[in-house]
Amino acid sequence: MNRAQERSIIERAAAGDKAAAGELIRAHQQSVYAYLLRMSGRPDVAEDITQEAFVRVLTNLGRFDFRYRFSTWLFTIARRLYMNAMAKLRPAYDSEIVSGWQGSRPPPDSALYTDEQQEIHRGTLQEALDDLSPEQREILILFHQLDWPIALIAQHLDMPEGTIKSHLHRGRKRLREAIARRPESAQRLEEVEL
Amino acid sequence: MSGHAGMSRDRDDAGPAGSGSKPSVDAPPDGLLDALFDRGLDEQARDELVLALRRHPVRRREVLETVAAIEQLRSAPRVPDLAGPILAETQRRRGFLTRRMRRAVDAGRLAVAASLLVGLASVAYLQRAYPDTMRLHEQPTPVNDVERAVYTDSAAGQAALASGVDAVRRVLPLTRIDPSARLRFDQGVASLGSASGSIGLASPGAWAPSHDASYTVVTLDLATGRNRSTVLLRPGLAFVSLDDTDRAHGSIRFIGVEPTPSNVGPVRCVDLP
Repeated sequence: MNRAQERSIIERAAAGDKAAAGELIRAHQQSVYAYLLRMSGRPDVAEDITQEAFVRVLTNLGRFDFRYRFSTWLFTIARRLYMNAMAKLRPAYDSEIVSGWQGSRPPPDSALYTDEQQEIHRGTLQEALDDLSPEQREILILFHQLDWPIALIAQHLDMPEGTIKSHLHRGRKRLREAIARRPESAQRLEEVEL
Repeated sequence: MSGHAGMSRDRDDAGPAGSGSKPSVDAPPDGLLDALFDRGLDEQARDELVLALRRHPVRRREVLETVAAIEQLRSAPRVPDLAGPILAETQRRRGFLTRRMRRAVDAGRLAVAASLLVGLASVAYLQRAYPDTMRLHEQPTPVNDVERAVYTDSAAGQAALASGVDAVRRVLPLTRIDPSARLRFDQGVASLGSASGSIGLASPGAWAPSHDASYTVVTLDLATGRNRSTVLLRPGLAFVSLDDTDRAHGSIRFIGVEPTPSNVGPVRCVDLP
């Protein structure tokens, strides 16, 4: 979908066209959901926030400024909702961090996990992502998963491009090391060719 | 970092691209690998880097591990179709328009736009064809006329008001005659039909009921120092003519009297012009 097509769909959706709104959702739900799933590690959180982000966007489509990319606007709202969800869980999160300092440190977003977290299966990738700082994780996701350019990430996160690159390099290295430590990664490595 | 594949003997040392004298042992530096993954290398630099990595198994393994990690990161998770719940919630909060409603809205917008265009075109045409109709000429304002009219009306109103006030003032009670005295007529009231003569009363400045209680007698203090009384023959205002002596003094001309039905209430004397 190019910018002109997207603009047409947005204008129709803003005028109350339900089908156009559905098109917008299906065009972007994959990336938003994947972003939130990688950030939180929880499908239910990713689903809830994706849904709320789309609802907010669709109910405010009339305010959308076509000078910007729709996906950037959508991700900004999704990210804010995610941060708010994190902030609401902050007290439990802090207590876990404090206890983590005395022993094995929990992942930064462990506040999103409840007592049921043991029942949630997290893959190797998610565990490796959880080991990263929130900034490193988000930058890696935006750059490698969503193919955002560094300049856009810098604008989105309000950071200098040099800082983005530093986070990217360190995060990538930590991610590689974390995945490489997993025994099942050796076999997978043989399948990768440059 | 494009078109520049720096190699170094040590893995973290940077060097000029493809300039290593011993390519078999030179390892691509971290900066170059980061540039590769940052999509900062052009095709030629990337090819040079791949060649260099083939000669450096440790670095190659690191790159392969990174590629594997990125591939995992790029692998799309299973995404539920959220369109249904999202649309339902949006419908609940904002509502969507039916196709017919959207057409009506579009038609309405079109009509408004067309009306504006027609209006503008009409103004432009009028301005061109009849420039005077679109021009505001300087004209004397009617303020002066209004002011003048207001003064005139005010004067007339003032006169009318004064006249009314005067008339009202004339019907206001001027004198209240003490009803306590009981007086006696010294002649028959029938002779007062012409009301030009004087009536002698026992006590001036008072009134008295007539014999049959149908008259009211009023005594007046005249400017000449003499007293005058008159009698009302029937209810209503009565007019009393003064004789020549009173007229000569001119301080009181005519006096009207309002009778009371049973001659027990107050009597109002009205000064008539």
